Amino acid sequence: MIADEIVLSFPNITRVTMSKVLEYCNIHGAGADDETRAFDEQFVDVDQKTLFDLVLAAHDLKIKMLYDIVGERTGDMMKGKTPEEIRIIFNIGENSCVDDHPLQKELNPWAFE
Amino acid sequence: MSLRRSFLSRRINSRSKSLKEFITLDNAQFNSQEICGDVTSEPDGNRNGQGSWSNMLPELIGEIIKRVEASEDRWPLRQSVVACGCVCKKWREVVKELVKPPVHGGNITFPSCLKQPGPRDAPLQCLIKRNKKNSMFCLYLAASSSFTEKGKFLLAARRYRHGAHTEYIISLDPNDLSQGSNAYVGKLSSDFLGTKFTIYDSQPPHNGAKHSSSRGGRRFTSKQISPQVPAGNFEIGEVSYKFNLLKSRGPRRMVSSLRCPVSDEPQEAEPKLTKSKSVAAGQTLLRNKAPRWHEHLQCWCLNFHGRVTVASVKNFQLVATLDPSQPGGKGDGETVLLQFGKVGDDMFTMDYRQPLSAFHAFAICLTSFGTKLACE
Repeated sequence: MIADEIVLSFPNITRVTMSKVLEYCNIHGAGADDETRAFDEQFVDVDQKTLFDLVLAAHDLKIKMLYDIVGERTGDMMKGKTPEEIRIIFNIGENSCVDDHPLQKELNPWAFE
Repeated sequence: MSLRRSFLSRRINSRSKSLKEFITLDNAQFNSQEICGDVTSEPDGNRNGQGSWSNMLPELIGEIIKRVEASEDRWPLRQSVVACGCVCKKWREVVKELVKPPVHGGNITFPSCLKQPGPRDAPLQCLIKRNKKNSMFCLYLAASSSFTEKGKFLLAARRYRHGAHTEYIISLDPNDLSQGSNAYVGKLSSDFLGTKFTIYDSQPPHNGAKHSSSRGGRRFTSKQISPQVPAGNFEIGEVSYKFNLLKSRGPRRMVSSLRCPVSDEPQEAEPKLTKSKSVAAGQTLLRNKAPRWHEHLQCWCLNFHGRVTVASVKNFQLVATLDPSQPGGKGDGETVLLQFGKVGDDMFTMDYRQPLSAFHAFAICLTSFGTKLACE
């Protein structure tokens, strides 16, 4: 006899994130079309904190399609930015191991002329 | 038939379950009080000391940056890869792992790539722009096949005349060409006649080299993403131009010996080299390919494959020497490892490949400028 209730526990995924993941899965359950593409565009148009949670959730739950779009969106947010801008967007602040290797000063004029 | 599931907090390992079962979830109910780890978002993204981009698992951040690296493979877009590498220490480690050296990827990403061997399969195309007014030469990565579009700046050199000899200081910064600078990469020193040149690297090569001058106890950061190494001038090669007996406008003869970094690829065992005492591992001997006299056109010709368009005595192609009895003579004598030639008044192309690095190639090309009294 299979129990009516199956208990699942995702200690690393918040309720808010999980509901977003399920929303994604529901929309994509029927396959991809123009509507799902439009949905995807607005789905990933979120702040870095939400994106972070979605990346982790998609990875943990092994949902490749979701992982791909949030990963791509995150990558796009890095493009065309200076290191400082990336730190601001992704909230990598003084508490993190910000790289103050002296090399950074030399990379700056060479790479970011 | 709708499915009802309720999510409770009991710890049952369910991570292996596919989520397909829940795709038609209509009536999922969440018991928000009982789900473990349900923490409301904190503004700075630090959840219980975790949950921050700077300490996301390297494999995850690596997969994201990998996409960036793959799509931004040409400059100036490639700058994004460097930017990611400068964000924080963890991201720097990730980027270092991801970026292939020029020998494999055929791409220049960091300044350290300028001292790594060029591509294995096809030459990397560059441009050298000369500025006669301030005796400066700038090396660029070619952006396209056009000879006017410069592309990414790589290195700059300035010629200084010191009495009987001439020096070219090579730097990462076109506005700072001093040996004491952090941007200092190496130099070229010539004799009075301009027929014999010595190439110096600011960093010691892997297999050791004579250290010609020390800068005392000062230590500079390496241009590579690596620990600090002592600065100085380490002799890594020579270029000689041979006397032209005809004393006409005939082609010059060039010979060069270089200490090239050994690439990662497995090398065949070469017992002859190891027996020779005078040669260190990674020594490469080069000579210029002899042009053929074209009777009909009445000129000396080399096949530059369209990369050189103006006839000039400066133009050359270097191949590795063929002679197996000579130390370092393991080249096939045919593959052009460095090609240099004029395409405009002050514009030259430079195409190089392994085992030469961009720095080696640039230094050798610089020797071609200037008067060679005994040759012409």
